[in-house]
Amino acid sequence: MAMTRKQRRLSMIGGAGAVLAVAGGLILYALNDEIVFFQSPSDVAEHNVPHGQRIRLGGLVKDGSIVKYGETVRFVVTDGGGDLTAIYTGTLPDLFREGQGVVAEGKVGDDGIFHADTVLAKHDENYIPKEVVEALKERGEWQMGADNPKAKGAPAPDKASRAEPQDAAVKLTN
Amino acid sequence: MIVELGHFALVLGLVLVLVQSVVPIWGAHTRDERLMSVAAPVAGVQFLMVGLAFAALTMAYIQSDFSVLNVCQNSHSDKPLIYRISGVWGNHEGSMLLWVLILSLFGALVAAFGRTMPETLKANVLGVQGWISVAFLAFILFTSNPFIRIPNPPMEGQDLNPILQDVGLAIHPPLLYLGYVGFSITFSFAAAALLDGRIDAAWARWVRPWILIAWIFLTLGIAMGSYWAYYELGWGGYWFWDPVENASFMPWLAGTALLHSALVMEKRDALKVWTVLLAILTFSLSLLGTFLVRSGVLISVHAFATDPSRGVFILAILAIFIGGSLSLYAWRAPLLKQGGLFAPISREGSLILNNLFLTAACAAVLVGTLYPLALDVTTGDKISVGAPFFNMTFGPLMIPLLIAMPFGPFLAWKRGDLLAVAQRLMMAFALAIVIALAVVWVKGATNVMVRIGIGIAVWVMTGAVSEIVWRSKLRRVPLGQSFRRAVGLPRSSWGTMVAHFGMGATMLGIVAVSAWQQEVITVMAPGETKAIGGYELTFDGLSPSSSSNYREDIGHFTLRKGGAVVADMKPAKRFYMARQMPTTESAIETFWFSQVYVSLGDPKEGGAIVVRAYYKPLVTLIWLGAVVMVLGGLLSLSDRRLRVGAPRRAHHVAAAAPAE
Amino acid sequence: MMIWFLFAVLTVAAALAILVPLARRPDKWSEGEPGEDSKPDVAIYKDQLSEIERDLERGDIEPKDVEAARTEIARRLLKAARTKEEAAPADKGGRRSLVAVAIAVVGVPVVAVSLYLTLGSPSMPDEPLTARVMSTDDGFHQFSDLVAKVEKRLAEKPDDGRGWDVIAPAYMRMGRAADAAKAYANAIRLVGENAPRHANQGEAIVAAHDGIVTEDARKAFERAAALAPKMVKPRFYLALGFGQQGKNEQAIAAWESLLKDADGNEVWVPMAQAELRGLGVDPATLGGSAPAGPMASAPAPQAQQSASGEDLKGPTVGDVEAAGEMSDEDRQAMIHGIVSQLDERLKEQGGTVDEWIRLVRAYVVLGEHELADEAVKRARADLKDDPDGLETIDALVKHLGL
Repeated sequence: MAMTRKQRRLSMIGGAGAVLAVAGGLILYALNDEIVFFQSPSDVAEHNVPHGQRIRLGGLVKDGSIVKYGETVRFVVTDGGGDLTAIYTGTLPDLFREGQGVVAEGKVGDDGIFHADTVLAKHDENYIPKEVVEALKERGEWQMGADNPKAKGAPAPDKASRAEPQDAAVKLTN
Repeated sequence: MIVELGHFALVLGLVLVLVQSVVPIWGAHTRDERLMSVAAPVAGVQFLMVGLAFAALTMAYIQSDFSVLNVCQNSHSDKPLIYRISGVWGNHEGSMLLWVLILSLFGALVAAFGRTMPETLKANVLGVQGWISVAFLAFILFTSNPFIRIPNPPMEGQDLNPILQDVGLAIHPPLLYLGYVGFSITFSFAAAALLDGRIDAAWARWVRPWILIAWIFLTLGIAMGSYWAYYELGWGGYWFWDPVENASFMPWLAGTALLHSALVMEKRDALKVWTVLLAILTFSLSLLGTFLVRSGVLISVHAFATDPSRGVFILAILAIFIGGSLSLYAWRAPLLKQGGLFAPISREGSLILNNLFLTAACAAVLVGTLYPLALDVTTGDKISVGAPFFNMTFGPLMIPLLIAMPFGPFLAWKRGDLLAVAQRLMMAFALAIVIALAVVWVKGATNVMVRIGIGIAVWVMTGAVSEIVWRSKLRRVPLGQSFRRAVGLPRSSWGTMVAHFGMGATMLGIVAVSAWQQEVITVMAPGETKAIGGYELTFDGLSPSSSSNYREDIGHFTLRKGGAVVADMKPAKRFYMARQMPTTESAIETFWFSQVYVSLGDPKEGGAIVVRAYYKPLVTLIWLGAVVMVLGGLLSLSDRRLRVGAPRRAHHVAAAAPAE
Repeated sequence: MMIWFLFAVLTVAAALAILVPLARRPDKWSEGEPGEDSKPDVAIYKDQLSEIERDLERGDIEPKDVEAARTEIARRLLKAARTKEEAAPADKGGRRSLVAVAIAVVGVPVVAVSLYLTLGSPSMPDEPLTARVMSTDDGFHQFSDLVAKVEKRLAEKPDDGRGWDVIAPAYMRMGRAADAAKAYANAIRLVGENAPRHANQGEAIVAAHDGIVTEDARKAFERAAALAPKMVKPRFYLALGFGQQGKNEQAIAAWESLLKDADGNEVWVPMAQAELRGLGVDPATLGGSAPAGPMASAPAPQAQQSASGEDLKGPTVGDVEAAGEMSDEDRQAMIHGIVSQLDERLKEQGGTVDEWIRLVRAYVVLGEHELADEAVKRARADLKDDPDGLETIDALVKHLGL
């Protein structure tokens, strides 16, 4: 018996505490460091998001704004209140179209242009990313009319559930 | 008539389950055997009723009975039969019905196979299972009734979603549900034991097969879902850390911990308080997952707030069951007597370590899943918690767990000798280093993390094998004898080894893919050739084709190795006219454990097209590893010991045992 | 009748599941003391005891710990063997069983049948598609075959403007709004523009965007309105669009001008009035021929939504006007379908004043005066606690001359 019962207990509790502390530390660190805030084009305009900070930009692809130069595509993301020009090089998702919702991840460069390294769209023709819906709603671009039963705001829960597994975003990274 | 019969059966199911949730527990409380004996038949008949309801709904789907609102919204007469059937659970109402069906299935299984359990425990377990069923049947009937009818039904249904027409998608939800609803029964065992006030080693043995069954299905379901996303979404990702995926992964982590802690409880009568808590938490995570997926909060917190009827109902169920069981736990757990003692270095100690890391990892996933929701509700900030967060938190927690994994099964109960175990594992360790170095040398890896990752994965695999090698005394006794010893080992030892080996294989696949995956995203003109992963991929051209409900452009590719043709690959880009929906059909070619994956992007001028080609080394190990883990689970499940305790057979077994 | 017989069979099965175990003779456990071996936990501990030898041999346990392990399990074994199953306290005259029997015989059938009656529709037969297609012969499949044929021709000859013109309303009817919008656009491009095409295109776009009057839709409606200034549809949607964009003054002006031109019987009038009320204008002050709208309160959106999903709503202007594009038969069928859905729901759950008004109006429009009368009666019964509502209904009856 190298240890008394009490010592054993203490050593085990100590070990457990250490593991939990490490886990907690990791989580806090990651929450500080690895999290990306969602912004709409008007947020970017209003809040003056520092250039170079990583954000997720969401909105609709402005009609008539897509210009392709080979593998690079330039388009304007709009939320009604503000526009932001974005540049992306790579293959676009199947559902990247004018007038459709889009979420792009990247940084606003010093040139004031959003340099996206990831563009997301989802596998449903009516899908608009939820952040976009909410941002648009704030802008009054979207209204859930009481007498407008077709206005659903966001896909209704049952529809969403149907879309559950394929919901995983189509993701393209350079 | 069939539809209404199904509806009535569902109502009757609710009524029966009300009886099931009251009478047996009342009987157990008053020690009235007659009342307790009501539990099993009622659980059985209730399962039949819910089964009848499910069959009726399925029939309505098969026959395209659009007078049923649910069928009308979620089906279409042009769908092939199999997808009309899978459409039953492809929507909210139907999937909840499947949920409840599985809930009663587990009740019925306990009723049928619980012969080895004492009557009071069985009555309490079925009673608690009944409570859960009451909640969800009421949820279905009052907020998500699949049997609502429409007079003057339309002539055609509304859904013909091409993405849903896929075999992988058709079968993985039922597997997933079998898994995470399966943990309801372990929850019921925990609550029943707390009600009864009797929690001991025997309880752990009764509950263990059910943990194993649920774990097996959950493992399979998650693996299938992952493979489905891999081939269907067109860019070869196998795990997205999407909240829907996390919803099934959290119960898996907690369930795996439970599987291990129940072992300690069975053998040593220790960790009782923790095991019971874990059983409660595992199912709570299943409920949380159901809430996340079913209430619509993931789609939009806002939408949830404006039309809350369903979400609030599930939230109430969540609160009542989690809150109720934890209160019961807080009230009863202090009464439990402490079990056997053990040193920190021991089998028990290693299993505690396993539990610590698994629950910490589970907590990390939980935080990553809920934090965006919480932030959205409280501050309105929208954030995304993606792969970087999980890599940062989940990864580091898994590494020590995997390093320690081979030691566990070697350590003796109560008090182990780490040094001796280390000696026994020397061989495995050396082998792991050699293999890892060889692999890295052949493949080339500049990244230290890759070398460590490969090393750990191989270490887990060799460590698992060496346990069996050592136990069968290979090379220490004549070959024949050691073979007999190996065969004579308990199935659960084999199960442990196989499952741990599978874990190593999955890890190897993950590391290999992230380290050596090659990716070419480029525009290819007909006749052009690109090199990928030691193969040459030639684009021969596009040919249009069409089917009843889509047109497609099929890309023709020839895959060569060293000039010799090894495969023709035909990825396609489909366009479903009815839905104006493009889909990507990837082409996958498997060579041993590695795959070449080709999918198409947008067409360009002059017959050229954007091509995404990947070489994914050892990628299939990710899922094969999971299948191997499942095999391990099945082996453990077949262990003789899990059947011991049947009153009539006990004598026979006890007599047979010493002969071994 | 058959169905009630089957219900009875199921109910009996359910009751038997409770009764049979209760009726069984007190089983073996109570007959004398059970042998120790037959207790499940005792068997498990005995097995564990025998397992120690094997564990030792496998090295799962250190030799020096064997004795301690044996004692540990033996202690569990003894404890398990000692705890006798407490005999059930005498069930006084089987009172508990009696309660259980009562639950089975009375409780189960009563609760099940009454719950089912509030939820189910026992009189509705199954309507599998094959049976319906055979019996009706109006042949939805003929319709979809037709669509398929046109689609095929269009795939070969995409410049056939007439084809697009034909298929567009068909798409709309099938709920393929996005397709319909494209088809209208093609028709306009190939055949030439006119007000109905533009208006229908706009409507299809709105339907495809979940009821939002998007920029594209607005352009289409504006074009239609330019071509036919008096046409109702474009003006209606433009007004709706103003409201959605928050341009309240323009919306109010647009609605008011629309209502001024209405004779009050149009299906869309109540909706226009509701929109106006939503914008804070009381349509009754407009004068003109529009009837006094319900004074009560604007329809509560939540109350409507919570009912039972989006699809049980009453007919909307969109629906009815979509119906305008169809053949007479189809239109009648569609309108009847939607109206009877509303009727069914109101019958079961009651509804707001506005919903009742919508129903009564719909019947009047359809020429079903008897049903309208009946709906008024039910509305009065349903709203009997709401004097304002009753007054509104009375005003409506007077106005419609029922």
